[in-house]
Amino acid sequence: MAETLSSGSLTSTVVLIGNPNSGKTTVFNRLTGLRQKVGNYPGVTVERKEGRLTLAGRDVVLIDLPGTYSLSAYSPDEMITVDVLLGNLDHGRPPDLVIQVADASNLERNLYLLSQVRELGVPIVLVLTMLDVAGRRGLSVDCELLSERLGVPVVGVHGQKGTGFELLGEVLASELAREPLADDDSATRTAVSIDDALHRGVDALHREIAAEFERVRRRRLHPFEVLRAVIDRGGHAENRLTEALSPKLTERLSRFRDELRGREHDEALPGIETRRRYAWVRERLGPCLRSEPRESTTTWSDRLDAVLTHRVLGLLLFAVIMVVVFQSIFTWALPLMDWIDGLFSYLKGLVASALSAGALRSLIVDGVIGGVGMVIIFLPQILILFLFIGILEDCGYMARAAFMMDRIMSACGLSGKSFIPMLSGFACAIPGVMAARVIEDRRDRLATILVTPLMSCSARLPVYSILIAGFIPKRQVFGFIGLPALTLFGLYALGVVTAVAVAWTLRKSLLKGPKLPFVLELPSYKWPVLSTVLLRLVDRAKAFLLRAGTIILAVSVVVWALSYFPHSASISEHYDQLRDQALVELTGPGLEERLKERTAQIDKLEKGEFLRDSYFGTIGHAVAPVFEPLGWDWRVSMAAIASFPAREILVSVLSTTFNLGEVDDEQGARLLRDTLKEARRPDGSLLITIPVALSVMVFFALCCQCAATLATIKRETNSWRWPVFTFVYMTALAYVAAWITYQVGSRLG
Amino acid sequence: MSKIYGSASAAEPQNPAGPQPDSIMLTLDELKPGERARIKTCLGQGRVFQRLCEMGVVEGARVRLVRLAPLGDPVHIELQDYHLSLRKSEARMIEVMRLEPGANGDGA
Repeated sequence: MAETLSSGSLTSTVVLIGNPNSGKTTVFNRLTGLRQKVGNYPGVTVERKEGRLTLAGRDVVLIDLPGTYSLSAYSPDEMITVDVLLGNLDHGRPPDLVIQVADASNLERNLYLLSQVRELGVPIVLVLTMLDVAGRRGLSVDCELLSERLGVPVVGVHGQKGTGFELLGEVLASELAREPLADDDSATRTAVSIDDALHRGVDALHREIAAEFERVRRRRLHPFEVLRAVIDRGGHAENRLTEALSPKLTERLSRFRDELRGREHDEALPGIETRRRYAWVRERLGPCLRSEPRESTTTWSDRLDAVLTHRVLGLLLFAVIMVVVFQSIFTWALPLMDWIDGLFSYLKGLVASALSAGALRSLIVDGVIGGVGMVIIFLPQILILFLFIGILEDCGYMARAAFMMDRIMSACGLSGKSFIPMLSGFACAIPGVMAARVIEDRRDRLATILVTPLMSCSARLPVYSILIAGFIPKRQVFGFIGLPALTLFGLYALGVVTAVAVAWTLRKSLLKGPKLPFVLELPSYKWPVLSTVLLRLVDRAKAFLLRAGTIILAVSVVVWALSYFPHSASISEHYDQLRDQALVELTGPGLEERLKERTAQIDKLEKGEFLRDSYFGTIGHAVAPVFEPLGWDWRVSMAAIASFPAREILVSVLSTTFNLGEVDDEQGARLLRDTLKEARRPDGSLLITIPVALSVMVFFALCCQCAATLATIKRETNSWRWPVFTFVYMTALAYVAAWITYQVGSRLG
Repeated sequence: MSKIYGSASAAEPQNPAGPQPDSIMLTLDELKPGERARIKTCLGQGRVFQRLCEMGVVEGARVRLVRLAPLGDPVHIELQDYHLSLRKSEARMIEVMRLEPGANGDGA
């Protein structure tokens, strides 16, 4: 229903629907440009994507629904489409218009959806894309005749070239300006007849329960929902009715289905529905399609597939492509990250010199700027990964990757589509978790999201490299494999093996459930459209910055507070005394140099003592007994705890604790390494031995020390339950594994 | 198990040449790469069955087994005018009538 805003202009709501791979996103982008925003529907993981446009002076909100083949719904996520189309989420106000995007080279299947959408009572405009692809296959579509036979306006567009959109705009404007027809009447008049007894029963049932439902749920019940409840056995529509009205409804529906089934053939209702609807589609579509006989039916898409999914060559090329993607991340992202690091250090310096020393300055410099820096530093990896994922997806290769990997993935309890997200986790879990969105099956998606953080991400590398270089002897094993390299490989392998084990266990227990059919469409290859890819990139980056970013910032401020306070005056007094002493003592040539050196040293000692004295230090001491069995002393424990929000912190915390200040470069890293090697416990024994180093690395390999990842999981699953679960299970696994490593390691000597 | 028996709907394509004498009934996963067939029935129940039917696995639809995935599963099929990846367990649920090479099932 059109709303009148206070300014007096009308706002119309238009909904966009269509099959996956039908070019719907391109149409959406063409219509709305940059005026898009992403939100959430309550209680489901489906994103609410909405954009704005102006049509003939009218403000239009365009809602993009997820691509779907049918309006049948077995989960809340699938039901969202029906709900939006009926206006259930908007106090029973259905949208003013539905635009269905249909792939002209696949019209039969695309129009199946139309046969259902027609029955909802909302005016429809049909947009045909890929007419050129159809043309190349010898198919031509008579749009005018089709429009007549379907009873809806039909407009052909070319998504990439942009043709047809002017006409589309005119058609949309004129449809919106039209008076709405009496809804229910027109729907039933032209609905596809599935089975007479079915429709009679649905109508009767609807008449019976509508009033009660309206009372309980405070919204109108549309007959289509009852139809779905009957046909989709055990589906979401049925659950909703049962929950709202009475559990006895389940039995009643069951009996009704049995009655219908026994009537003619022993055929399940869904089978009858699809048969009838496809018959209707063919009957309507038939005269409008003309197909010209072609010499060869092999398209260049087929030829590409012969190579890209070839038994040997396909896998090889896949491996090559994956390596290229990851190498690019490391070559491109690292310099960018260094640059960002530099930028933020500069900012810190600016602010530090502007404010006087004290809690406020430290809060702003270390807490806020440091926190924001920690968020921004992820951007290069996220952007590059999503650029590649976007290109691979848009050109159609992604589906082939899922196709080739499915065998391995489903053996682990995941799906072929889990491969890319998990692989991304080797660079950074965040884009991996976000990429898992494409997995349709909710349980597979969740399993993928929950195990992706186990993939050893690039933030673990600094920890691995310092400890391996410092403590793993450079011996050769089996003649040619260096022990350090083997250890590194072992840590990565540990992540993968654990991920597989956890996924498999999850699928058998918590996330137990029937597997959704893995019916995956393999779209024709096409050149990726840069604007689509870039728009998606911007969208993902915005999502990350806004949602995950705020949480990370909050966490970093808390961490700052814990590591800063109590900041006892007695410590600063002591070191101020040392500084005064230095001023007095040092005289003679090279005064400036030596003074600077001494002051730097005093600063480091002071920082170290502040940290050891801070609440983090107290926590470190307190939890030391817990980590004793792992071979860690309180300093290592403290550093590990401090790095829970972000792994990379371990290195700087350790180096500050040992009075080395910040680690900025190779030299600093080497210094830290040597210091750690020499470090001793109070009783004189070495602080870090090989078993201890190994247990620290194993802990890091398996523990989720990344507030950013947890924040992203929260955003993707729309609940706090899963990030908490991830944190708990990974920490538990990490602890046990580290414990085993230390105990076994120290016995082996 | 539910089956779709023959339907008398006029809009569903009939093979103009009548039943093919040499075509054999088998399941989709038993086709060899490159072979063409017409879908006869879709067995099975529940969500899998419904999803397959919605995607166009209905009696009379033309299908071709393109190839198997490098690791043997899933299978790549061409259904009507588009391509699908189907797990073997799902393909096993679809009964098809193999067509002789050269007869692609319709007049064109």
